[in-house]
Amino acid sequence: MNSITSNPARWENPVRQSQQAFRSLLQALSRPCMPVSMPLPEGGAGSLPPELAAIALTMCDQDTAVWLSPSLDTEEVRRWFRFQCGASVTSSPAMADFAFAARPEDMPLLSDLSRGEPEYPDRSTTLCVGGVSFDREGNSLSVLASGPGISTSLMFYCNLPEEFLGRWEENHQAFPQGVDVFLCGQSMVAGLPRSTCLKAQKEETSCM
Amino acid sequence: MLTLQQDSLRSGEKEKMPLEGYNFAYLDESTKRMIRRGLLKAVAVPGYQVPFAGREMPMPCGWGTGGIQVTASVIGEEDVLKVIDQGSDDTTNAVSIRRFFASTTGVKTTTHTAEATIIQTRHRIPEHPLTEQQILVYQVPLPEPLRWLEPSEKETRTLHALEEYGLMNVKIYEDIMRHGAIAMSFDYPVRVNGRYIMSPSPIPRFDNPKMHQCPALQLFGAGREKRLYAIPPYTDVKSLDFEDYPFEVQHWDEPCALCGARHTYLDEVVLDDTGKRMFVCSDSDACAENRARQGMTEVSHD
Repeated sequence: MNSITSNPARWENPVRQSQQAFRSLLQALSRPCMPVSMPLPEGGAGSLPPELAAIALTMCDQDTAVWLSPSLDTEEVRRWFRFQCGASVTSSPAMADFAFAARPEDMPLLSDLSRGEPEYPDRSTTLCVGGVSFDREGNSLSVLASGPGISTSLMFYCNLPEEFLGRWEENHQAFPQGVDVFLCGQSMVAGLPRSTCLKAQKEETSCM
Repeated sequence: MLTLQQDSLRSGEKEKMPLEGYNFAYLDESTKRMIRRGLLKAVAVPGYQVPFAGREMPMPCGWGTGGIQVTASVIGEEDVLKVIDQGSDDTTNAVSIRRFFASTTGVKTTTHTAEATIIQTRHRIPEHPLTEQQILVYQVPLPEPLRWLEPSEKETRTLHALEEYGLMNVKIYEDIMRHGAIAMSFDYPVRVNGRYIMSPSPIPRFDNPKMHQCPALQLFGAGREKRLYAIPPYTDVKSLDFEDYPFEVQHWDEPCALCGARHTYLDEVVLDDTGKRMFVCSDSDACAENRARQGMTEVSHD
């Protein structure tokens, strides 16, 4: 607890750095499945990965409800969110504007999060997942991504569990309702808006 | 006169410091965060209008308060800003918005499309092809394409939710019945990513094809109506039409009177009261570039 009170994660220059972090997020979401680097805050926020802390500092405030995955749901992290962002922590994923999961294994089911309403699909949860690796080698998931923001199609590699593809398909089919996901790790963020279509692809041999 | 003097003084200064006493880009940080959250949703659901809590800006509604709030939430110190009004960099609206951001952010401004990273526009898309590194911000007066057909916001939201766009087809059909052609010359509705029908803001329909599979991110802000929407890069944008009455852009019989370009959008300029007129490029930067390429001298504005 001491480490966080003495050196909590925060921006050195909030105006400039949150703008830069937002542009990373905007670019990530408008060019899905292409990881972009993002600025990271100094200091720690308990078990919250620095990329997720950057998203929280940029996007969350008193108007947003935040859900934390079980491994993040400690007094230290809750306190950091309350003090640094002013955000309230909710125990119900469907009530959250932003959901944070420290690792891919901690991800909640996409169907447990809010998809918004047919008239207001923007009232949905944005899921932010940490500990993601985008290396081509040794990753469990290789997919062919297509949709708005992607010129024709592109290959995407990450360490999400294989079950994710089926859940994502369901989420994508609900368009315009649905959950948007930010995958973070290695100081990078990749966007996965609900409009993106993911198809399992073992090898980069045939592209449609 | 006073403003002119101040402007020349300011441009004479070596380093441009943002205005003291104001936050970077005028808006406070929590307003920016609220708009940024809206923009992310807008990008995730292309063509869908996200409501946002539009703020009072130091200029009246109708002067691009929506576009300004979007630009203010997106812009950073490294950005280079271009502002156009009907294609021109030197009209009142463009000059005042460019000056607003120059003084509240200190960013570099430009009139050259290729140099800009953010282009805020009123009613035109630049002739110069946009790149992946650019963001185009539109000022939107009426974001709802169905508004003239259905006055109730609750109704139009339901129509969008149900993808019930029969009304719009009837409107286009009636146009053809009455005029023999689709008679919308600007603000020509489009379908984004095969789902939402969207108002492209009052750009001439000449510009509609430029939105299709555009490499740049396109953001739209309506200040009075408090709506945000977006078209991500490389997204299908189809202008509404019928198979037997396909969408067509405007054509002119003569080239631009200044630069001779044949494939740009031309404005009609009335020269005198005896019916003399000329047609010139609406995009003043593209026109000047064309003339420079041909070795023509800068046209004097005196």
